[in-house]
Amino acid sequence: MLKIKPERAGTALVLKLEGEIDETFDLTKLLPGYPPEMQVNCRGVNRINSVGVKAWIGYFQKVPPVVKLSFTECSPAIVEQFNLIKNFKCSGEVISICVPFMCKKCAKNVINVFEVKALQASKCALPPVKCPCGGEAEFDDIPEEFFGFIST
Amino acid sequence: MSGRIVLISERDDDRKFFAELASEAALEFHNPPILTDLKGMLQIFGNPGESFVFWATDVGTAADSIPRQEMAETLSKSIGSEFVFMVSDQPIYELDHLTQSFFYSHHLTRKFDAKLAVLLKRFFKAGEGNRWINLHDFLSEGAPQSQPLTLISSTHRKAACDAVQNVLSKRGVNPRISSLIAQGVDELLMNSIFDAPRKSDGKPYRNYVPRTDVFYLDDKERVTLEMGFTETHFTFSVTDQFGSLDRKIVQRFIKKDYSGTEYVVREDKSGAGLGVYGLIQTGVSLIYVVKPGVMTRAILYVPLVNSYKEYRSTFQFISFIFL
Repeated sequence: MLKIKPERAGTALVLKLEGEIDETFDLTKLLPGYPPEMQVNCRGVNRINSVGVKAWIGYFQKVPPVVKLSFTECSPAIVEQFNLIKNFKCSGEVISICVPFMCKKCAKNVINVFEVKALQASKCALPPVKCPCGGEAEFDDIPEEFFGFIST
Repeated sequence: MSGRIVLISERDDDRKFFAELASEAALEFHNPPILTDLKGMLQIFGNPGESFVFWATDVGTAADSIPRQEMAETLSKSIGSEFVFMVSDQPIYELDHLTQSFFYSHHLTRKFDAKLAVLLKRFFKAGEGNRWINLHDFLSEGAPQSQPLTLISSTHRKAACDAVQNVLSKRGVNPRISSLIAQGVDELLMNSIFDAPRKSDGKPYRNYVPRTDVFYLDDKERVTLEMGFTETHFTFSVTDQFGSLDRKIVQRFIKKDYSGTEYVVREDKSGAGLGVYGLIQTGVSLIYVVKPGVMTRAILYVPLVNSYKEYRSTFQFISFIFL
């Protein structure tokens, strides 16, 4: 079940998404119109099914071009869709993504948020990341696949 | 076990892996010279059930230079497609000649390891007597298997997916992998609930129903979910009672490339047409077993790994077995 938490930040409407995106995804029920700026925070999205992808694109492709649409803290499940579906971000800009790491010492999963512009500037070279246990965490995916949408 | 592995490849890594596999499975190993005459190959293949053929299908190699059409006919006349495994470096969706042909039943990527050997040995065993049907054929003896879960309402799908994710989380599976598998099971359940049902004239009657609709499944429409666990992998099977899966349609979805071409939302269709595409692109291995008019069983195979990176680095397997 997807939880959507709307917040105001100046003129922007921030939508915090948490849970699974599926066939029930429909922001028109929550938002009768469009704000001048819409930031969609996707940190809490853990999975999205095929009809969820369809509903997502169906909604965001109708957002008028005058609306400043952006996606922040995109979870790996959302990043995967940016890589699989060319028009998944529609007219939006991807501001930041959650990059998955795994601790070499305790095997815990660690998520660090990176700005997309910084990743583009560094050609997706990642700085050393520490786990809360003190161990060194390594990037837990295939770089060419995970960062594919950034380089294209 | 009796029979043989026939390898059509000139690659040393192929020879090494399949010779060892044959030895472990107590099968003979043959690696005939490439471009031998097809009649000669027919003799090596023998009768149906005697050979498991592994054919390196990488574009531009010597094994690839064998005329495919002729070879396909030879294979279909001799051992049958269910004993033909295509092997390549690239995933299946990058190989047009495979997504457009049907003379083979299996494709695997060339990422050889002990887990792949275990899976192939299960195939050899299940292939004996041509009874490639049950989930437990892909499990070791005594491996834990869940009680079958029968879905009797369209609303049970979400609960079933959550149950899969919870089971995997309790077993300490990487959260990204458990989400991916739950999503995979969701896609298979949607296919079984909405796409599989057919009227007596063979026409589908649920594929235009919105995925949000709530309805009960009658006896024939009920869908079964099973889970099994071994020391090397997890398996999840989703079974419907229609046996209507069309391999051509599945392969058409597999070869789509929405990373290069925009996905167009079709309001006139209730499904998305993205389920199988997403599964295959994210490295999932799938085994389809179809008894036309009787049942389709989709088995999702997940190697037991420590990290997502390791998962993405392991082999990928897809099978179409028609009984």
